[in-house]
Amino acid sequence: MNRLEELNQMKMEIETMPEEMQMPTLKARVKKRVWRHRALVAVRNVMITLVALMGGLTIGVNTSESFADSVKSIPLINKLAAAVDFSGGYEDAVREEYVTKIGKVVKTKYGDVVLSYAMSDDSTLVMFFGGDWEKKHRDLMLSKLTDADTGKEIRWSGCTCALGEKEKSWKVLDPCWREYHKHVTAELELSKWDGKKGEHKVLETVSFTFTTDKKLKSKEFTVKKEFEANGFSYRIEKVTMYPLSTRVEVICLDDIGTDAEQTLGMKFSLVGKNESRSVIEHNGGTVLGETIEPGHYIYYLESGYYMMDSGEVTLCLDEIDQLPKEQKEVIYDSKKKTLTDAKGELKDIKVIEERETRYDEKPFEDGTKGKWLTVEVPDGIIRNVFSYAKKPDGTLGDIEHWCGESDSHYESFPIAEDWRDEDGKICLIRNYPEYIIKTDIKIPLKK
Amino acid sequence: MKDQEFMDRIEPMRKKLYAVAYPYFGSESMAVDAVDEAIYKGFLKKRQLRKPEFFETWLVRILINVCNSKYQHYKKQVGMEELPEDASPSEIENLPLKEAIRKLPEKYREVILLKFFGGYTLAEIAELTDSPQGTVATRMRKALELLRMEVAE
Repeated sequence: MNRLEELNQMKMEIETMPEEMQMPTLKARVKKRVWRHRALVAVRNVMITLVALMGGLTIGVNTSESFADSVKSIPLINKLAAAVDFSGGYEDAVREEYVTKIGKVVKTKYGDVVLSYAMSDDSTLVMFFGGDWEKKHRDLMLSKLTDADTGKEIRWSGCTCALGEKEKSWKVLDPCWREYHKHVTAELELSKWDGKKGEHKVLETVSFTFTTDKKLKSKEFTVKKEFEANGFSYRIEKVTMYPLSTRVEVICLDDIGTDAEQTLGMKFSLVGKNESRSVIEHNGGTVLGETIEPGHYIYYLESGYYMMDSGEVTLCLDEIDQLPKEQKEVIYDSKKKTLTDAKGELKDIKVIEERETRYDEKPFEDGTKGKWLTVEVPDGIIRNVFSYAKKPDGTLGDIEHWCGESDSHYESFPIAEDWRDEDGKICLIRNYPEYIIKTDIKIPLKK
Repeated sequence: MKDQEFMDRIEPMRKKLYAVAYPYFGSESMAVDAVDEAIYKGFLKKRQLRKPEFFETWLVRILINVCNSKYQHYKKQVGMEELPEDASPSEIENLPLKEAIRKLPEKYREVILLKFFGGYTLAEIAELTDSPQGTVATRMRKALELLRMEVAE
């Protein structure tokens, strides 16, 4: 390609203007700014007159800076908000200009990676990445977070990666953490998905050190609401609203030890005057490093922080997912190729086969003798239907390596030979809810 | 100039502003940021514009200043060095055009971007950069030599 052809190609690249150049919000905000400015000028004039009358000092009020910051970031607000449309709480935070402009660039062979904006609180860090790296065929994954002041590694979990495929969008990464860190170093891997090997191949590592200077205090609500469900007693202890998420703490009041696993999940939502919030679609898991006592449950929802500004918000417990005790243990009979619980043979999960290797891969990397067990699961079922195997000596063996087959109805997982009893049966601990209890518990959260 | 008039005058210029800013960084978000900042600065300083007929010239000047300032920062971050004014074409001939433009001395880069992405004539560029037209023509010729570009006049 000669220089003129390159020039024409460059011109083609800029032919399509990004959406934020349409500036509809800028216009609206400028109008608002003008109104605010007039009001402030009027107030300022009154103040100056008053002080002059009182023989006091001359006042010079510079209001332009706050306006400036406001106007400066406006055309981007819509696009930033669109990038986090999977969480109403994040969208609110963006529109309330809780974001901090970072604007740092790392040059790579695959294009520039730009950390454009970030926002954080005691629960979450949200980073917006732009740049001309080839988003279509590459992915950007968070590998490490460090507190830049202390040099200590920050434990984090959960990260949205749903936007990686959208070439024109910002890539948003939102790890959960246990406390706010003002100065942070984020290490990221620019990678490419290797479909044959089924893994991300790391192409380059990039690192950003940045500061998020906005942090609002959380809003705490002591709830102490007790209720019963399926014979168990619970108490919703506390709700903490951060600008970027909402944390709900629940305690099971019965001394049921490991049976607490029977309660597999609670579905909460926050309902305000005109809108509602639920679990963050791609996140909302428990944060690594957080110690949770037996019988305690922590749920993370989208933030209702800014919803509180428009009045009362109600915390609703919509559903409880439970597994009846008698259905917790499932016996796999390797001779008959059946799965049965206390009620009889399972109708929803069927045994397909046992095999030595799967795509030449052995079931256990550490040399443990075993096989792959492939089962058929119905549409819409929660994956990883078994979490443990109960060994003949009563101890538990982890089933942590699940594989979906090319036919999405099939799943395979490793079973160790020493999990079998003398009849060739293995006791598996089921991991998905049999019963979903609908509730009508509503708790008003007041300022 | 009234606020609404300012916004109305910006409207037909958006594409041109973006086109001038984009090659500085090769990044959509950084270009939008630069345009954004230029508009905001213009909005705040609009009372300083005595002759409304020079609105475009005035705003593009602001944009160039913003881009140059941001570009200085960008260069440090990515560790890029500009060529000296007496550089030879061989130093950038193997680079893709977009990178070669970014390595040009600031004065040369300005005229290239204003000419080929802003669509301005040499006389207009002279106005925009506050330089004599002959100087702009010399810069353009040197810039094209460095880039090994032959353009029909």
